[in-house]
Amino acid sequence: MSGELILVVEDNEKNRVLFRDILQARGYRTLEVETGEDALVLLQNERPDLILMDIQLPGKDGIIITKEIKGNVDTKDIPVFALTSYAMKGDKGRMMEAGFDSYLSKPIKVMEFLRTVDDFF
Amino acid sequence: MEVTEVKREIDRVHMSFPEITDIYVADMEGEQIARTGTEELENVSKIWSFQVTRGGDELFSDIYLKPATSEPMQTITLSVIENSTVVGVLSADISFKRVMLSVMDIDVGKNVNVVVIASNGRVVAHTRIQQVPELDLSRSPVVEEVLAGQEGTMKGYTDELRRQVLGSYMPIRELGWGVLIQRPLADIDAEVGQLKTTIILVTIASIVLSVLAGWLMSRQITKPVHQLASASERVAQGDLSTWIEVKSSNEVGVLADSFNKMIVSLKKSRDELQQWGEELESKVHERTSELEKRSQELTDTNIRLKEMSRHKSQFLANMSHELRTPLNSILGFSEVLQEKMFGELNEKQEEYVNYILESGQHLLSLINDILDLSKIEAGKLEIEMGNVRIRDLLTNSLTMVKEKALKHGIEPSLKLEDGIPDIYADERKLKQIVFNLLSNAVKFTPDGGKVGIEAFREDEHIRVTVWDTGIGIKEGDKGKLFKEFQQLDSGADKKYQGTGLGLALSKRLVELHHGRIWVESGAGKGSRFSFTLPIREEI
Repeated sequence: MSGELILVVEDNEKNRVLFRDILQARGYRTLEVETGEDALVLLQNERPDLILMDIQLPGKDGIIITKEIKGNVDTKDIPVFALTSYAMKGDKGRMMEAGFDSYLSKPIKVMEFLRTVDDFF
Repeated sequence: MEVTEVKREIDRVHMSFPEITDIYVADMEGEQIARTGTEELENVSKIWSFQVTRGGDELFSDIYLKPATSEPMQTITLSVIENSTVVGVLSADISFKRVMLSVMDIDVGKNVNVVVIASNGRVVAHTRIQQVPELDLSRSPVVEEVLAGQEGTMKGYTDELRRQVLGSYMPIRELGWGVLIQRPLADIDAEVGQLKTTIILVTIASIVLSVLAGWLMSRQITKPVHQLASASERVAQGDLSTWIEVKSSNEVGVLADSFNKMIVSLKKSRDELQQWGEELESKVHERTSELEKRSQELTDTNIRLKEMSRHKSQFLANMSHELRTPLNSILGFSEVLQEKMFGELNEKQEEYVNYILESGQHLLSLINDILDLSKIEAGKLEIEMGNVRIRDLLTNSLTMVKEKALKHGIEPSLKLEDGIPDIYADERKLKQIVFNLLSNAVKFTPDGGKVGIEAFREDEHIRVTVWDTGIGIKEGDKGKLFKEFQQLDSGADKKYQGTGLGLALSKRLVELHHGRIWVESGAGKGSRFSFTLPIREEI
């Protein structure tokens, strides 16, 4: 909790606010974007310590975006946590391949979620 | 001399046409004056057919079975008329043995049988039974239908081979006969495709049979007709003088007339048969196309149903995602408030936030239940088998409901057999079952009551029982209990509302483990829900 920077990729506005507020209350710095494409643009200039990636996103989904992040030498070392709600058929396999560092299921339990993030650092 | 002539003609017809087994000519007193073969002449005055025909009628008997050889037979009896006066009787026995043998030769496929039934319900021919005597099917509902002139299909009756069958039937109206094609239901249930095969098979069999039967029948009757016709012609033309000469000898002098009479009536039969054959053929065509249409409809419906089921699964998956997104906010923000991350709440606010959180969690468990049920239905629920420590699992489950129970003054108890073995099961699913039963027990038990959980080994199974001293279940409601969306009516007291899904899901989950779940209860007597699971079984 020494002010690590966390990028939240989440298309739902209220959920974005929720992640932002609880992480900031915990002492983290945050960046939030609505789409995976925005995340890629942002990563050209920013180097977050952790990315929280929603899976169902408009445009390219979280799995594809994560593959691209992990496939790029500049960004491949940034840890990415998947935020999954119910996985569609076949998503599980795709998610395993994408290279996520951890999986968190939605709806989250706030305190458990924060503990998981804390434990990571 | 004249009698010898008649005898010779009769014998010649008999030799040429084995279908005709016996011919005789009798006078008005019933004394046979000529008969085929070496049979002794008899007096037939007591025989019904003689008595009827003697009055001037012609008679086509019902199909009967010849006692000695068990062949299906028919007797045609005609009066011999001279100058509008009956002077004697001519009778011929015709055998349908060939029809019988031909039907037995039809290859309609394994387990399928074709039955030809005469108007009295007796079997004329059967693909699987050689000895048709005594086989009287007149009481069978399907035979009653077909002999009443109906055609159609009947499902699920017991046939003469004591099988549950699907039968198609078609009357042979002109003869008052019927044809049945029967196939065991067990063979049909498999697939729609299979059904189509059956339909086609049955249709082909009908065509074959109708053509064959028509051919045989006309052959059997028309040939002797021609034979008799030419015989009578020859008698009439070649030896006319003889005939005229012996005209006074009453028995023989009128034989030509009776032959002619027989020709006319046999011709009529032949025409009728031909007509029947054509009619039947067109009916078969009609039926074939109708059946093909129906089969196509079934295939279409099947495709549509599969598509609908796929859409349903996709819909549920999408819906589940869509519902979880707002739930993440509802549950997340209310937890943030409950945890007082951004400051204190007053008492009312705290109470309400707890309600929001509880309701949100309830909603989430509903979504999960619906999703699990739909996955089980689609056969897509994956179970992850492993070693499960029953003691730990039950203790954990009890802990999960303990807080809520204590709040209502209910003290939950746990009773375990010493040394209860581990079992091979899906731990998460098992926990779901136990938790579900326990939360029901707490929910339906009034404040200050008792709930408990017990586990014992029973041979190769363990048996887990969750009991309570709650409101219990009426006898009539027990059947509904484990069905989806069949929540019991708890009367005006809306206190006891559940989801209507928990027990249905538990039942499915227990069954996925090859176990059994049941309830013992009475209204006001509390309930005991028990389930068994195999201790070690690879699923």
